[in-house]
Amino acid sequence: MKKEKLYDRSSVSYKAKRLFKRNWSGWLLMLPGLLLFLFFVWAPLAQNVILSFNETKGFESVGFNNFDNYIRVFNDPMFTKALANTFKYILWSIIIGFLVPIFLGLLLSEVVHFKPFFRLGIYFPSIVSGIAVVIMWSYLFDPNPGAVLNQLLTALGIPVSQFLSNPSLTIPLIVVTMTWRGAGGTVLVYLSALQNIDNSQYEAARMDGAGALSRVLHVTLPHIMPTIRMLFILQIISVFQVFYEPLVMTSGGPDGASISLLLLSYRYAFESFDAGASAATGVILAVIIIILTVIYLRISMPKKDKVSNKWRRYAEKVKK
Amino acid sequence: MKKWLCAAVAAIVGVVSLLSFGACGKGNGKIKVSIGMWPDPTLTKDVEMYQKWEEAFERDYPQYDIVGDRYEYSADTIMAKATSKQLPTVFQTYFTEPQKLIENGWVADITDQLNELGWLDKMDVDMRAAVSDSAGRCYGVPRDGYGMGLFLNCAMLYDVGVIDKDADGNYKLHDDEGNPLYPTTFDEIREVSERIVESYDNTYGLVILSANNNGGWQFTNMAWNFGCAAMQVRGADGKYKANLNDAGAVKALEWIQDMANDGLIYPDASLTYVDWYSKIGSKNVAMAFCGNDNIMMPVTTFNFNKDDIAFVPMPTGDGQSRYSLYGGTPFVFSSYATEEQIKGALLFLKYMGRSPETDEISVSAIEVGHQTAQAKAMPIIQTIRPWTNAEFLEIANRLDKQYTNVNPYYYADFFDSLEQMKRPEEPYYCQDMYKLLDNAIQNVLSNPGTANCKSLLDTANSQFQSNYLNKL
Amino acid sequence: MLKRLKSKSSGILTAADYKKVGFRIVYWIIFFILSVAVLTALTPVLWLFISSFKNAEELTATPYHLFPEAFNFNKLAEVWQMLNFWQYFLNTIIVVVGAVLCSVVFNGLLAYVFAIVKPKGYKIFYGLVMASYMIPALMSIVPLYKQIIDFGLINTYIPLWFMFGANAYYLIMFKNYFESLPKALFEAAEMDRCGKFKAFFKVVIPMSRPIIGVVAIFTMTAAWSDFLLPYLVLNDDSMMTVMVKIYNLQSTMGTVQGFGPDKLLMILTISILPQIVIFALFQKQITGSSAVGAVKE
Repeated sequence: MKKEKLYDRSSVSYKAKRLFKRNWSGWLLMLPGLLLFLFFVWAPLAQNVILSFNETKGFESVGFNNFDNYIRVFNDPMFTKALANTFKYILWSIIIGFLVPIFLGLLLSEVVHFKPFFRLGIYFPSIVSGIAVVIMWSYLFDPNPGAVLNQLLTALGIPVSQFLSNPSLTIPLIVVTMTWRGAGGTVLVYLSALQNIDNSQYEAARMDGAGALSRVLHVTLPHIMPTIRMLFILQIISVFQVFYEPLVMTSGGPDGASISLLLLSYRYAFESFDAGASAATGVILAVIIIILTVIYLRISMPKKDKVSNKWRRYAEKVKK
Repeated sequence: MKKWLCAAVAAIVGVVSLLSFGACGKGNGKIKVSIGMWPDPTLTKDVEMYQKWEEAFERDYPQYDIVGDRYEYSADTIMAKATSKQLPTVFQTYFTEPQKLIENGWVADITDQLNELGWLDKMDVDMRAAVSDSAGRCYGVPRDGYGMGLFLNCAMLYDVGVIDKDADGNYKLHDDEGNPLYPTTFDEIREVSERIVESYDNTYGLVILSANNNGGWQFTNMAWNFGCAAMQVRGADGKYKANLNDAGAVKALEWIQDMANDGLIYPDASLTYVDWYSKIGSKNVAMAFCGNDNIMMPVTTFNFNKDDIAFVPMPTGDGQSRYSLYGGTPFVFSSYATEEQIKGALLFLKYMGRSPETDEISVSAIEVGHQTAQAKAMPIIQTIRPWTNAEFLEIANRLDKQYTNVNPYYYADFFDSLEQMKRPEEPYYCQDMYKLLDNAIQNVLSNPGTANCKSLLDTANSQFQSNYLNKL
Repeated sequence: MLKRLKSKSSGILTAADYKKVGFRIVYWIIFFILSVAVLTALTPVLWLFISSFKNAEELTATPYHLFPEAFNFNKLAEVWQMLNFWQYFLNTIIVVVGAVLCSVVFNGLLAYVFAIVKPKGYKIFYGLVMASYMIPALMSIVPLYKQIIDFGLINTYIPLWFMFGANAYYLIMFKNYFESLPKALFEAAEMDRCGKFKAFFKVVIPMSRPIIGVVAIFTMTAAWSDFLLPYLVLNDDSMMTVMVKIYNLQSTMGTVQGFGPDKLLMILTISILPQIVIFALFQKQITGSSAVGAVKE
């Protein structure tokens, strides 16, 4: 402390030194993480934006070409399909991938018989590696009327299906496959959120004459809302990473009915050797994600849940 | 527990890094030649055969070290392999690929070395063109060629009364006047398919591939045979124009549509190469289009009875046009390899029996190949060799005959007509064209009731013109 | 059976509700739906196990038979040996362990700086991380791949490990958790003249076991099934992970003689078996730690 007085506190070098002294350890701690972000996220992202405005040969850019890549991409019918598919994937993954685990979690928390068995059984598919899951299901979805699932349908009196070869079923079936594997882990997360709910709140609601449905809506759901929000984001992120599922199950077909933007971007780069178009697709995908993120943040601005507070107050009353 | 875990992780990381460094440090002063066509480890008999060749080669050329570095060429991995300089010294590809590989500078010019060895002049002219650039420089060594034809399950065709049997129980593919009983037109394929569908449950006449560019590959041949002059035509200005929506191509696609609508072809819109022989092998279909170089696949993988196979020429759609798409497999050499490595790889081809040489080593190598095929109970049929020197052909054909284990009559019509039916693949961006055609076929197979063939091909055509041919 | 229902005292429906017949029916409907769910979860794998013993030609033969003519266990041993599948398992475990370590250490450390240390200028970087919050790294696959080549990291596990160290989502999970820890704790550490780095390992990590568990499990699941980058980076057969090897076998099946769909299904079975063993051994830890993932209100 004494030493510091020797310096002129207002001098630039003193300030810089102080700044460094106070912060160097923090900066040092930040460095490794930031370097990784730089290497894996920011630098590729920035280069991708640049690349998307350049003519490319192989992976190298050979000169600025304005919006040519974007124009070429937008004129490609496959891109239009991939763009539309992205929203189909989102829709179906909300309907199937997002809602089914919530539902199963609720049921699982209520069941008292064979609970451990149900829990393990539902979780079981999560231990199978992703590629094994999609290959297995693509064999199950054999469109031959004599194949296993169609035989099952016939036995149940349902007309046979072309499964993945039916363009309007392709995406839902791919989402089913992804959910089949992914739901188990999610269900367990919900289950523990549900088990964390303080029973006195249910008691309070019951005292107040709330029916079963109203208990679910006013006690259960508000309590697991933070978990629901977190898993919702994870679900949407996973949709943008859809890649090997259509690659293996349908190679993006029939006629682009299941191609995802990521798969298309990969195809441009590694099959058509068109890195510019691939970069442009990546940028467009990033823009979509940013727009969706903004929308999401707008909607989910933290609002205190009034209803659940009401029950909480009751709970306090009861305790007294 | 925690400490134990840390120790375990550290141990794993340590062992792995040691192993990987150990592998790097193997350098023994020898010239390393990595062989991309090294067989998959599951094919133990083939691996043994390669090991035999390797031994013989390394005995004669001790300065070389042959390393198996299997790379199964595919259009979507070559970019990654090449840009990361991970290509093996020599690997095999298809005749559609060399132009693209040359243009990107991934394969080495081997003209001078071939000249030195005296192999260049012995190469089949058509096959040489497929592996050469416009200036005539040569970038590859053809392994063999194939022509597309129609694969028949004779047992099924006999069952439904399409073909006959003679007194010895052999199938008769011709009537007494010598006219073929097997389908020679697409209309006849339809008729046979109808009979098959009537006679068997959940079984179809034909399988049409539709994914991974295989659909476009088969379709191109069909379109030619329906009267499409070419899928790429040279205009008056010398520039190539896309012609994917030619009347013949539309007819071919409509034929597929009708077959799908009537439930005569296998009802799947995402079939890759493995599927033609899967469906043949499990007797889901009676007929398929494939190259003569892959006839053994249903036998080796599905225990299909090799005596039930007949392979006949491609049918015609318009009654006159009758072509057999003629492609093949060349060996190409990484442009990152040194001249010495390439020389070693070329010499190794001789030890595999893939050169025009006729010395003892070459002959015994071909024989080892046949013996391996025999040991695997593969059907051994005639091969389309890339070398034209008489002494080589004489030996090769003699060995083919000596080792053959099938009735040559079942293949005779195909091989007899191949010379006049064969037609090389379209000149530019062939795989990309196949990909666009795949989409049209998938669309037809998935909505056979409503698909508009003309407009689907129009889309493919304009895409191909603007995204590919305009780049020329 | 009904005794259990009568003693149910917590949750949405309790013994009081189950006095009514209507709710008892609801309960058995719940029970039925869950049974269907478990059946849906288990039968496909069971089907796979059974089918992988079929011959290639049996697999898609019509009329369809559920069971193979014979369960030939030699086939399992033969395919396993042929491929030396252990190698790919070992590789996968190496990738997963490295990814989990990187994910926990690097995201945790950066989150610790953002949440607690807050050196001057950290906000800029925090803003950058937030901006790339939901954008997966693979969206810029070409530049990323090029970079990996330029750094000579092709055919190494390094990019696969470290990519999980730059995950905005895990980072934010860590940050939220650290911010909820009592401030006094860090002040105490500071008083002890504990360095900031030391404080991270001595104070933060031990206090953060629940969140570390969550991130570890999420990373483990993601790394276990990671495909695109491993597929592009791991060219060498001896380096491949289970995912990459299986895809490789599947996509080149058309050209490999004797390797048909039946063997592919057997490979899938083989790839699942060790996972079942691991699962059976550690099921409490695995299912338990994903339970920690529930976000407390």
